[in-house]
Amino acid sequence: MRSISDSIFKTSGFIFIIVLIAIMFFPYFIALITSFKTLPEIYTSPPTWIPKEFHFENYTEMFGALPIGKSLFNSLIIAIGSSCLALLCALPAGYVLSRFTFPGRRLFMYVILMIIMFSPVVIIISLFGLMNKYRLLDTFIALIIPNAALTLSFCIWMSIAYFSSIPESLEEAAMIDGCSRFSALVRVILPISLPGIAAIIVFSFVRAWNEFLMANTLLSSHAKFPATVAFYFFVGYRGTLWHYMCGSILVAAIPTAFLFLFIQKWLVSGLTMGAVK
Amino acid sequence: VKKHNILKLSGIYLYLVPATILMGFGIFIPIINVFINSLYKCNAVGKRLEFVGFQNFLVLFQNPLFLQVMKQTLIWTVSMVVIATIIALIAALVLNRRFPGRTIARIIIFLPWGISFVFTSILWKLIYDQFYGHVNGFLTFILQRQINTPWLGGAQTAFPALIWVGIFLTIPFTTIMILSGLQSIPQELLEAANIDGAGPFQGFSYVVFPLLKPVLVVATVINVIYIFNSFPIIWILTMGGPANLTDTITTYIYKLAFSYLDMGSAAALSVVGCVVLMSFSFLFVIFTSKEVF
Repeated sequence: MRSISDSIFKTSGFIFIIVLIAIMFFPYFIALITSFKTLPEIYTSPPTWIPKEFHFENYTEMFGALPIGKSLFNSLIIAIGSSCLALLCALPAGYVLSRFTFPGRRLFMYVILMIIMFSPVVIIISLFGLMNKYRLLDTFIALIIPNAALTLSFCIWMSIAYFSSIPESLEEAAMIDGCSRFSALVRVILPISLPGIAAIIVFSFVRAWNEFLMANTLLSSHAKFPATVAFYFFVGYRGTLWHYMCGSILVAAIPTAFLFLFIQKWLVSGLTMGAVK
Repeated sequence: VKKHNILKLSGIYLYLVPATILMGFGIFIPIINVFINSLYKCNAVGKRLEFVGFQNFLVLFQNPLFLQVMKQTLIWTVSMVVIATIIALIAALVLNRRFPGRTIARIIIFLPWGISFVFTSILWKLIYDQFYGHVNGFLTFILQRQINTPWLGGAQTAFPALIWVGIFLTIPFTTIMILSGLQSIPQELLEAANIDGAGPFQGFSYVVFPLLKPVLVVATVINVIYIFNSFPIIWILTMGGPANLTDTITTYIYKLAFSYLDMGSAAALSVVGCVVLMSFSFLFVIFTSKEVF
Protein backbone atom coordinates (compact mmCIF):
# COMPACT_ATOMS: atom_id res chain seq x y z
CA MET A 1 0.00 0.00 0.00
CA ARG A 2 2.69 2.35 1.11
CA SER A 3 4.84 1.90 -1.97
CA ILE A 4 1.87 2.46 -4.29
CA SER A 5 0.95 5.76 -2.68
CA ASP A 6 4.62 6.68 -2.69
CA SER A 7 4.99 6.08 -6.39
CA ILE A 8 1.76 7.96 -7.18
CA PHE A 9 3.21 10.79 -5.15
CA LYS A 10 6.48 10.66 -7.05
CA THR A 11 4.89 10.46 -10.50
CA SER A 12 2.56 13.36 -9.87
CA GLY A 13 5.56 15.37 -8.68
CA PHE A 14 7.36 14.56 -11.92
CA ILE A 15 4.40 15.55 -14.05
CA PHE A 16 4.10 18.78 -12.09
CA ILE A 17 7.76 19.64 -12.73
CA ILE A 18 7.53 18.81 -16.43
CA VAL A 19 4.48 21.05 -16.85
CA LEU A 20 6.17 23.81 -14.85
CA ILE A 21 9.31 23.59 -16.97
CA ALA A 22 7.22 23.81 -20.13
CA ILE A 23 5.49 26.93 -18.79
CA MET A 24 8.69 28.56 -17.55
CA PHE A 25 10.45 27.94 -20.81
CA PHE A 26 7.51 28.99 -22.97
CA PRO A 27 8.16 32.75 -23.49
CA TYR A 28 11.83 32.13 -24.28
CA PHE A 29 10.92 29.31 -26.63
CA ILE A 30 8.55 31.68 -28.44
CA ALA A 31 11.34 34.29 -28.55
CA LEU A 32 13.71 31.72 -30.02
CA ILE A 33 11.39 30.55 -32.81
CA THR A 34 10.21 34.08 -33.58
CA SER A 35 13.78 35.33 -33.88
CA PHE A 36 14.31 33.02 -36.88
CA LYS A 37 11.09 33.91 -38.70
CA THR A 38 10.49 36.49 -41.41
CA LEU A 39 8.28 39.44 -40.57
CA PRO A 40 5.39 38.29 -42.83
CA GLU A 41 5.44 34.89 -41.13
CA ILE A 42 5.22 36.52 -37.69
CA TYR A 43 2.20 38.53 -38.82
CA THR A 44 0.13 35.51 -39.84
CA SER A 45 -2.88 34.34 -37.88
CA PRO A 46 -2.92 31.76 -36.35
CA PRO A 47 0.85 31.88 -35.63
CA THR A 48 3.21 29.10 -36.70
CA TRP A 49 5.06 27.08 -34.05
CA ILE A 50 8.11 26.12 -36.10
CA PRO A 51 9.58 28.64 -38.56
CA LYS A 52 9.13 27.63 -42.22
CA GLU A 53 12.75 28.61 -42.82
CA PHE A 54 15.39 29.45 -40.23
CA HIS A 55 16.74 32.93 -40.96
CA PHE A 56 19.92 33.02 -38.91
CA GLU A 57 20.92 36.26 -40.60
CA ASN A 58 18.24 38.02 -38.48
CA TYR A 59 20.81 38.04 -35.68
CA THR A 60 23.27 40.14 -37.68
CA GLU A 61 20.68 42.24 -39.50
CA MET A 62 19.00 43.37 -36.27
CA PHE A 63 22.04 45.40 -35.25
CA GLY A 64 21.74 47.43 -38.44
CA ALA A 65 17.95 47.80 -38.37
CA LEU A 66 17.64 49.12 -34.81
CA PRO A 67 20.22 50.82 -32.52
CA ILE A 68 20.55 47.64 -30.44
CA GLY A 69 24.33 47.67 -30.12
CA LYS A 70 24.24 51.22 -28.80
CA SER A 71 21.56 50.44 -26.22
CA LEU A 72 23.44 47.36 -25.00
CA PHE A 73 26.55 49.50 -24.65
CA ASN A 74 24.60 52.09 -22.61
CA SER A 75 23.27 49.31 -20.36
CA LEU A 76 26.82 48.08 -19.91
CA ILE A 77 28.13 51.48 -18.80
CA ILE A 78 25.26 52.03 -16.36
CA ALA A 79 25.55 48.52 -14.95
CA ILE A 80 29.34 48.66 -14.53
CA GLY A 81 29.13 52.08 -12.92
CA SER A 82 26.40 50.99 -10.51
CA SER A 83 28.10 47.76 -9.50
CA CYS A 84 31.49 49.43 -8.91
CA LEU A 85 29.90 52.14 -6.79
CA ALA A 86 27.83 49.62 -4.83
CA LEU A 87 30.89 47.44 -4.23
CA LEU A 88 33.07 50.33 -3.04
CA CYS A 89 30.44 51.30 -0.51
CA ALA A 90 29.37 47.80 0.53
CA LEU A 91 32.73 46.14 1.20
CA PRO A 92 34.04 48.42 3.98
CA ALA A 93 30.62 48.53 5.63
CA GLY A 94 30.19 44.76 5.41
CA TYR A 95 33.67 44.26 6.85
CA VAL A 96 33.23 46.31 10.02
CA LEU A 97 29.68 45.04 10.52
CA SER A 98 30.93 41.45 10.44
CA ARG A 99 33.99 42.03 12.65
CA PHE A 100 33.08 44.54 15.37
CA THR A 101 30.30 45.34 17.75
CA PHE A 102 29.95 49.07 18.21
CA PRO A 103 27.25 51.53 19.24
CA GLY A 104 24.81 52.01 16.36
CA ARG A 105 25.55 48.66 14.72
CA ARG A 106 22.02 47.30 15.23
CA LEU A 107 20.51 50.57 14.02
CA PHE A 108 22.62 50.45 10.89
CA MET A 109 21.53 46.86 10.19
CA TYR A 110 17.87 47.78 10.63
CA VAL A 111 18.26 50.73 8.30
CA ILE A 112 19.78 48.48 5.66
CA LEU A 113 16.88 46.05 6.02
CA MET A 114 14.36 48.87 5.77
CA ILE A 115 15.85 50.07 2.51
CA ILE A 116 14.91 46.81 0.85
CA MET A 117 11.30 47.86 1.34
CA PHE A 118 11.56 51.17 -0.49
CA SER A 119 10.54 50.92 -4.07
CA PRO A 120 11.99 53.07 -6.81
CA VAL A 121 8.47 54.23 -7.64
CA VAL A 122 8.04 55.87 -4.26
CA ILE A 123 11.22 57.87 -4.66
CA ILE A 124 11.09 58.40 -8.41
CA ILE A 125 9.14 61.67 -8.19
CA SER A 126 11.58 63.33 -5.85
CA LEU A 127 14.56 61.75 -7.62
CA PHE A 128 13.30 63.46 -10.76
CA GLY A 129 13.09 66.77 -8.90
CA LEU A 130 16.51 66.32 -7.28
CA MET A 131 18.25 65.35 -10.50
CA ASN A 132 16.59 68.29 -12.21
CA LYS A 133 17.85 70.59 -9.48
CA TYR A 134 21.46 69.39 -9.81
CA ARG A 135 21.29 69.38 -13.63
CA LEU A 136 21.85 65.63 -13.73
CA LEU A 137 18.75 64.70 -15.72
CA ASP A 138 19.56 62.75 -18.87
CA THR A 139 23.00 61.67 -17.60
CA PHE A 140 24.20 58.21 -16.62
CA ILE A 141 25.18 59.50 -13.19
CA ALA A 142 21.50 60.13 -12.45
CA LEU A 143 20.94 56.39 -12.89
CA ILE A 144 24.13 55.05 -11.38
CA ILE A 145 23.65 56.67 -7.95
CA PRO A 146 20.10 55.45 -7.19
CA ASN A 147 20.77 52.08 -8.83
CA ALA A 148 23.78 51.53 -6.60
CA ALA A 149 21.89 52.79 -3.57
CA LEU A 150 18.98 50.43 -4.14
CA THR A 151 21.24 47.37 -4.45
CA LEU A 152 23.49 48.47 -1.61
CA SER A 153 21.54 46.79 1.18
CA PHE A 154 21.69 43.36 -0.47
CA CYS A 155 25.35 43.91 -1.25
CA ILE A 156 26.11 44.72 2.39
CA TRP A 157 24.14 41.67 3.58
CA MET A 158 26.04 39.47 1.18
CA SER A 159 29.42 40.84 2.20
CA ILE A 160 28.60 40.42 5.90
CA ALA A 161 27.69 36.80 5.20
CA TYR A 162 30.92 36.27 3.28
CA PHE A 163 33.30 38.05 5.66
CA SER A 164 31.78 36.18 8.61
CA SER A 165 32.87 32.93 6.98
CA ILE A 166 36.53 34.07 6.95
CA PRO A 167 38.32 33.41 10.27
CA GLU A 168 39.46 36.54 12.06
CA SER A 169 42.81 34.91 12.88
CA LEU A 170 43.90 35.58 9.31
CA GLU A 171 44.03 39.35 9.59
CA GLU A 172 45.24 39.12 13.19
CA ALA A 173 48.25 37.20 11.90
CA ALA A 174 48.82 39.85 9.24
CA MET A 175 48.54 42.60 11.84
CA ILE A 176 51.11 40.90 14.08
CA ASP A 177 53.40 40.90 11.06
CA GLY A 178 53.05 44.69 10.96
CA CYS A 179 50.07 45.35 8.72
CA SER A 180 47.53 48.00 9.67
CA ARG A 181 43.94 46.81 9.76
CA PHE A 182 43.21 48.49 6.46
CA SER A 183 46.16 46.94 4.67
CA ALA A 184 45.33 43.58 6.24
CA LEU A 185 41.89 43.95 4.74
CA VAL A 186 43.23 44.89 1.33
CA ARG A 187 46.13 42.44 1.19
CA VAL A 188 44.81 39.40 3.03
CA ILE A 189 41.03 39.43 3.28
CA LEU A 190 39.99 40.85 -0.08
CA PRO A 191 42.07 38.40 -2.18
CA ILE A 192 40.44 35.40 -0.51
CA SER A 193 37.03 37.07 -0.72
CA LEU A 194 37.11 37.20 -4.51
CA PRO A 195 34.21 34.75 -4.97
CA GLY A 196 32.04 36.83 -2.65
CA ILE A 197 33.11 40.06 -4.35
CA ALA A 198 32.30 38.55 -7.74
CA ALA A 199 28.85 37.62 -6.45
CA ILE A 200 28.22 41.16 -5.25
CA ILE A 201 29.38 42.66 -8.54
CA VAL A 202 27.23 40.29 -10.54
CA PHE A 203 24.19 40.97 -8.38
CA SER A 204 24.30 44.74 -8.68
CA PHE A 205 25.37 44.53 -12.32
CA VAL A 206 22.35 42.43 -13.25
CA ARG A 207 19.98 44.52 -11.17
CA ALA A 208 21.14 47.68 -12.94
CA TRP A 209 21.12 45.94 -16.33
CA ASN A 210 17.49 44.93 -15.77
CA GLU A 211 16.30 48.23 -14.30
CA PHE A 212 13.57 50.03 -16.22
CA LEU A 213 11.63 52.61 -14.24
CA MET A 214 14.43 55.03 -13.38
CA ALA A 215 16.01 54.84 -16.82
CA ASN A 216 12.61 55.44 -18.41
CA THR A 217 12.03 58.50 -16.23
CA LEU A 218 15.41 60.15 -15.80
CA LEU A 219 16.71 59.80 -19.35
CA SER A 220 15.17 61.67 -22.26
CA SER A 221 17.51 61.40 -25.24
CA HIS A 222 17.05 58.17 -27.19
CA ALA A 223 20.80 57.84 -27.78
CA LYS A 224 21.32 57.28 -24.04
CA PHE A 225 18.60 54.66 -23.51
CA PRO A 226 19.75 51.36 -22.03
CA ALA A 227 18.41 48.15 -23.54
CA THR A 228 15.33 47.87 -21.31
CA VAL A 229 13.99 51.31 -22.25
CA ALA A 230 15.11 51.14 -25.86
CA PHE A 231 13.40 47.78 -26.41
CA TYR A 232 10.26 49.07 -24.73
CA PHE A 233 10.18 51.90 -27.25
CA PHE A 234 10.86 49.56 -30.17
CA VAL A 235 7.74 47.52 -29.40
CA GLY A 236 5.53 50.48 -28.63
CA TYR A 237 3.87 50.60 -32.01
CA ARG A 238 1.95 48.39 -34.38
CA GLY A 239 4.21 46.78 -36.90
CA THR A 240 6.92 45.97 -34.37
CA LEU A 241 9.96 44.27 -35.91
CA TRP A 242 9.34 41.25 -33.69
CA HIS A 243 11.96 39.02 -35.33
CA TYR A 244 14.70 41.51 -34.44
CA MET A 245 13.15 42.26 -31.04
CA CYS A 246 13.05 38.61 -29.99
CA GLY A 247 16.62 38.09 -31.11
CA SER A 248 17.92 41.12 -29.28
CA ILE A 249 15.98 40.24 -26.12
CA LEU A 250 17.65 36.82 -26.10
CA VAL A 251 21.05 38.43 -26.67
CA ALA A 252 20.44 40.93 -23.85
CA ALA A 253 18.86 38.49 -21.39
CA ILE A 254 20.59 35.12 -21.60
CA PRO A 255 24.10 36.17 -20.40
CA THR A 256 22.74 37.97 -17.35
CA ALA A 257 20.42 35.08 -16.58
CA PHE A 258 23.38 32.70 -16.42
CA LEU A 259 25.43 35.19 -14.40
CA PHE A 260 22.62 35.26 -11.87
CA LEU A 261 22.49 31.49 -11.79
CA PHE A 262 26.15 31.35 -10.77
CA ILE A 263 25.75 33.65 -7.78
CA GLN A 264 22.42 32.19 -6.67
CA LYS A 265 24.01 30.41 -3.67
CA TRP A 266 25.60 33.55 -2.25
CA LEU A 267 22.49 35.62 -2.72
CA VAL A 268 20.32 33.12 -0.94
CA SER A 269 22.81 32.67 1.89
CA GLY A 270 22.77 36.42 2.40
CA LEU A 271 18.98 36.48 2.40
CA THR A 272 18.40 33.51 4.67
CA MET A 273 21.04 34.64 7.15
CA GLY A 274 18.48 37.06 8.51
CA ALA A 275 15.98 34.23 8.86
CA VAL A 276 18.29 31.87 10.70
CA LYS A 277 19.90 34.37 13.05
CA VAL B 1 42.61 53.59 27.17
CA LYS B 2 39.55 55.76 26.52
CA LYS B 3 41.31 57.79 23.88
CA HIS B 4 42.40 54.58 22.19
CA ASN B 5 38.79 53.39 22.17
CA ILE B 6 37.50 56.58 20.62
CA LEU B 7 40.18 56.38 17.94
CA LYS B 8 39.23 52.79 17.25
CA LEU B 9 35.54 53.62 17.13
CA SER B 10 36.00 56.54 14.76
CA GLY B 11 38.10 54.21 12.59
CA ILE B 12 35.14 51.83 12.48
CA TYR B 13 32.68 54.55 11.58
CA LEU B 14 34.97 55.68 8.80
CA TYR B 15 34.30 52.37 7.05
CA LEU B 16 30.57 53.10 7.12
CA VAL B 17 30.88 56.55 5.56
CA PRO B 18 30.71 55.59 1.86
CA ALA B 19 27.63 53.41 2.35
CA THR B 20 25.93 56.08 4.43
CA ILE B 21 26.57 58.80 1.86
CA LEU B 22 25.29 56.63 -0.98
CA MET B 23 22.14 55.63 0.89
CA GLY B 24 21.63 59.25 1.90
CA PHE B 25 21.77 60.66 -1.59
CA GLY B 26 20.15 57.74 -3.38
CA ILE B 27 17.36 56.96 -0.93
CA PHE B 28 16.95 58.98 2.25
CA ILE B 29 16.94 62.48 0.79
CA PRO B 30 14.42 61.45 -1.92
CA ILE B 31 12.23 59.68 0.65
CA ILE B 32 12.22 62.61 3.05
CA ASN B 33 11.51 64.84 0.09
CA VAL B 34 8.43 62.82 -0.83
CA PHE B 35 7.09 63.03 2.72
CA ILE B 36 7.61 66.80 2.82
CA ASN B 37 6.25 67.31 -0.71
CA SER B 38 3.06 65.49 0.22
CA LEU B 39 2.25 68.45 2.49
CA TYR B 40 2.97 71.07 -0.15
CA LYS B 41 1.54 72.28 -3.38
CA CYS B 42 4.22 71.49 -5.96
CA ASN B 43 4.88 72.40 -9.57
CA ALA B 44 5.46 69.89 -12.36
CA VAL B 45 9.14 69.27 -11.53
CA GLY B 46 8.46 68.84 -7.81
CA LYS B 47 9.42 72.34 -6.62
CA ARG B 48 7.54 73.28 -3.42
CA LEU B 49 5.23 76.29 -3.85
CA GLU B 50 3.13 76.62 -0.69
CA PHE B 51 2.27 74.63 2.42
CA VAL B 52 -1.20 73.08 2.19
CA GLY B 53 -1.24 70.63 5.12
CA PHE B 54 -3.18 67.46 4.37
CA GLN B 55 -4.94 68.95 1.35
CA ASN B 56 -3.15 66.56 -1.05
CA PHE B 57 -4.32 63.56 0.96
CA LEU B 58 -7.91 64.82 1.03
CA VAL B 59 -7.89 65.30 -2.74
CA LEU B 60 -6.41 61.84 -3.18
CA PHE B 61 -8.95 60.13 -0.89
CA GLN B 62 -11.83 61.84 -2.71
CA ASN B 63 -10.53 60.59 -6.05
CA PRO B 64 -12.88 57.70 -6.96
CA LEU B 65 -9.96 55.85 -8.54
CA PHE B 66 -8.05 55.77 -5.24
CA LEU B 67 -10.13 52.99 -3.67
CA GLN B 68 -10.21 51.07 -6.94
CA VAL B 69 -6.42 51.25 -7.24
CA MET B 70 -5.96 50.18 -3.61
CA LYS B 71 -8.27 47.21 -4.15
CA GLN B 72 -6.45 46.21 -7.32
CA THR B 73 -3.09 46.47 -5.57
CA LEU B 74 -4.38 44.14 -2.85
CA ILE B 75 -5.67 41.60 -5.39
CA TRP B 76 -2.45 41.88 -7.40
CA THR B 77 -0.19 41.30 -4.38
CA VAL B 78 -2.13 38.65 -2.47
CA SER B 79 -3.11 36.47 -5.43
CA MET B 80 0.40 36.49 -6.81
CA VAL B 81 2.19 35.77 -3.54
CA VAL B 82 -0.20 32.99 -2.54
CA ILE B 83 -0.29 31.18 -5.87
CA ALA B 84 3.43 31.59 -6.60
CA THR B 85 4.41 30.38 -3.12
CA ILE B 86 2.24 27.26 -3.38
CA ILE B 87 3.61 26.38 -6.82
CA ALA B 88 7.18 27.15 -5.74
CA LEU B 89 6.80 25.02 -2.61
CA ILE B 90 5.69 21.98 -4.60
CA ALA B 91 8.42 22.60 -7.19
CA ALA B 92 11.09 22.90 -4.50
CA LEU B 93 9.93 19.68 -2.81
CA VAL B 94 10.24 17.80 -6.10
CA LEU B 95 13.53 19.46 -7.07
CA ASN B 96 15.00 18.50 -3.69
CA ARG B 97 14.74 14.81 -4.60
CA ARG B 98 17.27 13.09 -6.82
CA PHE B 99 16.11 12.31 -10.34
CA PRO B 100 17.78 12.24 -13.75
CA GLY B 101 17.81 15.70 -15.34
CA ARG B 102 17.39 17.49 -12.02
CA THR B 103 20.13 20.01 -12.73
CA ILE B 104 18.60 20.99 -16.07
CA ALA B 105 15.15 21.24 -14.48
CA ARG B 106 16.58 23.54 -11.81
CA ILE B 107 18.37 25.71 -14.36
CA ILE B 108 15.25 26.19 -16.50
CA ILE B 109 13.08 27.06 -13.49
CA PHE B 110 15.69 29.43 -11.99
CA LEU B 111 16.68 31.13 -15.24
CA PRO B 112 13.91 33.77 -15.59
CA TRP B 113 15.05 35.23 -12.25
CA GLY B 114 18.09 36.84 -13.86
CA ILE B 115 16.15 38.11 -16.88
CA SER B 116 14.75 41.61 -16.75
CA PHE B 117 11.01 41.71 -16.11
CA VAL B 118 11.00 44.17 -18.98
CA PHE B 119 12.27 41.64 -21.50
CA THR B 120 9.94 38.86 -20.35
CA SER B 121 6.98 41.25 -20.30
CA ILE B 122 7.76 42.34 -23.87
CA LEU B 123 7.72 38.69 -24.91
CA TRP B 124 4.37 38.16 -23.19
CA LYS B 125 3.03 41.14 -25.11
CA LEU B 126 3.71 39.20 -28.31
CA ILE B 127 2.36 35.97 -26.84
CA TYR B 128 -0.90 37.61 -25.72
CA ASP B 129 -1.42 39.35 -29.08
CA GLN B 130 -5.00 39.11 -30.29
CA PHE B 131 -4.16 37.90 -33.79
CA TYR B 132 -0.52 36.80 -33.88
CA GLY B 133 -0.05 35.61 -30.30
CA HIS B 134 0.62 32.02 -29.34
CA VAL B 135 -1.94 31.90 -26.53
CA ASN B 136 -4.75 32.34 -29.04
CA GLY B 137 -2.80 30.17 -31.47
CA PHE B 138 -2.67 27.38 -28.90
CA LEU B 139 -6.38 27.71 -28.07
CA THR B 140 -7.25 27.75 -31.78
CA PHE B 141 -5.28 24.54 -32.20
CA ILE B 142 -6.87 22.81 -29.18
CA LEU B 143 -10.46 23.93 -29.74
CA GLN B 144 -10.22 23.66 -33.54
CA ARG B 145 -11.92 27.02 -34.07
CA GLN B 146 -10.60 30.54 -34.50
CA ILE B 147 -9.96 32.19 -31.10
CA ASN B 148 -9.25 35.93 -31.10
CA THR B 149 -9.49 36.91 -27.44
CA PRO B 150 -7.98 40.36 -26.81
CA TRP B 151 -6.30 39.21 -23.57
CA LEU B 152 -4.74 42.52 -22.61
CA GLY B 153 -7.53 44.70 -23.95
CA GLY B 154 -10.54 42.98 -22.35
CA ALA B 155 -11.96 44.29 -19.07
CA GLN B 156 -12.28 40.78 -17.64
CA THR B 157 -9.11 39.22 -19.04
CA ALA B 158 -6.49 41.96 -18.66
CA PHE B 159 -5.87 41.71 -14.94
CA PRO B 160 -5.77 37.89 -14.76
CA ALA B 161 -3.43 37.90 -17.77
CA LEU B 162 -1.08 40.29 -15.94
CA ILE B 163 -1.27 38.29 -12.72
CA TRP B 164 -0.33 35.16 -14.65
CA VAL B 165 2.82 36.88 -15.95
CA GLY B 166 3.57 38.08 -12.43
CA ILE B 167 3.21 34.58 -10.98
CA PHE B 168 5.48 33.28 -13.71
CA LEU B 169 8.12 35.86 -12.76
CA THR B 170 7.77 35.26 -9.00
CA ILE B 171 8.17 31.48 -9.08
CA PRO B 172 11.95 31.28 -9.79
CA PHE B 173 13.10 33.36 -6.83
CA THR B 174 10.59 31.75 -4.46
CA THR B 175 11.64 28.28 -5.55
CA ILE B 176 15.32 29.10 -5.02
CA MET B 177 14.62 30.39 -1.52
CA ILE B 178 12.49 27.42 -0.49
CA LEU B 179 14.89 24.93 -2.03
CA SER B 180 17.81 26.39 -0.10
CA GLY B 181 15.69 26.10 3.04
CA LEU B 182 14.93 22.46 2.25
CA GLN B 183 18.59 21.68 1.68
CA SER B 184 19.44 22.91 5.15
CA ILE B 185 17.06 20.36 6.70
CA PRO B 186 19.07 17.30 7.74
CA GLN B 187 18.05 14.24 5.73
CA GLU B 188 18.24 12.06 8.88
CA LEU B 189 15.27 13.90 10.35
CA LEU B 190 13.07 12.88 7.43
CA GLU B 191 14.39 9.34 7.52
CA ALA B 192 13.68 9.13 11.23
CA ALA B 193 10.14 10.34 10.62
CA ASN B 194 9.81 7.76 7.85
CA ILE B 195 10.96 4.95 10.13
CA ASP B 196 8.44 6.08 12.72
CA GLY B 197 5.76 5.55 10.07
CA ALA B 198 5.20 9.03 8.74
CA GLY B 199 3.99 9.22 5.13
CA PRO B 200 5.04 11.96 2.76
CA PHE B 201 2.22 14.27 3.89
CA GLN B 202 2.90 13.75 7.60
CA GLY B 203 6.63 14.06 7.04
CA PHE B 204 5.97 17.36 5.34
CA SER B 205 3.56 18.86 7.82
CA TYR B 206 5.34 17.73 11.02
CA VAL B 207 9.01 17.83 10.03
CA VAL B 208 9.62 19.89 6.91
CA PHE B 209 7.09 22.68 7.25
CA PRO B 210 8.01 23.84 10.78
CA LEU B 211 11.70 23.94 9.83
CA LEU B 212 10.92 25.72 6.59
CA LYS B 213 8.82 28.42 8.19
CA PRO B 214 11.57 31.04 8.71
CA VAL B 215 12.54 30.80 5.05
CA LEU B 216 8.90 31.02 3.98
CA VAL B 217 8.47 34.14 6.10
CA VAL B 218 11.49 35.84 4.53
CA ALA B 219 10.46 34.79 1.03
CA THR B 220 6.92 36.05 1.58
CA VAL B 221 8.02 39.42 2.91
CA ILE B 222 10.46 39.93 0.05
CA ASN B 223 7.87 38.80 -2.50
CA VAL B 224 5.19 41.09 -1.13
CA ILE B 225 7.59 44.02 -1.28
CA TYR B 226 8.68 43.22 -4.81
CA ILE B 227 5.22 42.51 -6.18
CA PHE B 228 3.65 45.50 -4.46
CA ASN B 229 6.37 47.64 -6.01
CA SER B 230 6.54 45.96 -9.39
CA PHE B 231 6.09 48.39 -12.20
CA PRO B 232 7.36 47.08 -15.56
CA ILE B 233 4.94 44.14 -15.97
CA ILE B 234 1.87 46.36 -15.85
CA TRP B 235 3.45 49.33 -17.57
CA ILE B 236 4.68 47.35 -20.55
CA LEU B 237 1.67 45.10 -21.04
CA THR B 238 -1.30 47.40 -20.41
CA MET B 239 -0.10 50.73 -18.96
CA GLY B 240 -2.83 50.29 -16.37
CA GLY B 241 -5.56 50.08 -18.97
CA PRO B 242 -8.21 49.36 -20.05
CA ALA B 243 -9.89 52.19 -18.10
CA ASN B 244 -7.50 51.95 -15.08
CA LEU B 245 -8.64 48.37 -14.46
CA THR B 246 -5.06 47.12 -14.11
CA ASP B 247 -3.55 50.10 -12.32
CA THR B 248 -1.82 49.43 -9.00
CA ILE B 249 -0.41 52.01 -6.60
CA THR B 250 2.93 52.09 -8.40
CA THR B 251 1.61 52.65 -11.92
CA TYR B 252 -0.95 55.13 -10.64
CA ILE B 253 1.74 57.15 -8.83
CA TYR B 254 3.65 57.28 -12.07
CA LYS B 255 0.61 58.39 -14.05
CA LEU B 256 -0.32 61.04 -11.48
CA ALA B 257 3.19 62.43 -11.53
CA PHE B 258 4.23 62.22 -15.15
CA SER B 259 1.01 62.05 -17.18
CA TYR B 260 -1.43 64.19 -15.17
CA LEU B 261 1.40 66.29 -13.64
CA ASP B 262 -0.45 66.16 -10.31
CA MET B 263 2.64 66.08 -8.09
CA GLY B 264 0.68 66.64 -4.88
CA SER B 265 -1.52 63.56 -5.25
CA ALA B 266 1.47 61.55 -6.50
CA ALA B 267 3.50 62.42 -3.40
CA ALA B 268 0.51 61.68 -1.16
CA LEU B 269 -0.03 58.29 -2.79
CA SER B 270 3.70 57.53 -2.46
CA VAL B 271 3.42 58.17 1.26
CA VAL B 272 0.31 55.99 1.51
CA GLY B 273 2.07 53.19 -0.37
CA CYS B 274 5.14 53.49 1.84
CA VAL B 275 3.10 53.38 5.04
CA VAL B 276 1.00 50.42 3.88
CA LEU B 277 4.07 48.44 2.89
CA MET B 278 6.05 49.20 6.03
CA SER B 279 3.19 48.41 8.37
CA PHE B 280 2.53 45.16 6.52
CA SER B 281 6.17 44.02 6.69
CA PHE B 282 6.37 45.01 10.33
CA LEU B 283 3.16 43.24 11.36
CA PHE B 284 3.91 40.17 9.27
CA VAL B 285 7.36 39.70 10.73
CA ILE B 286 6.09 40.27 14.28
CA PHE B 287 3.15 37.88 13.95
CA THR B 288 5.14 35.13 12.33
CA SER B 289 8.28 35.55 14.39
CA LYS B 290 6.30 34.87 17.56
CA GLU B 291 6.14 31.26 16.47
CA VAL B 292 9.31 31.17 14.42
CA PHE B 293 11.90 32.31 16.90
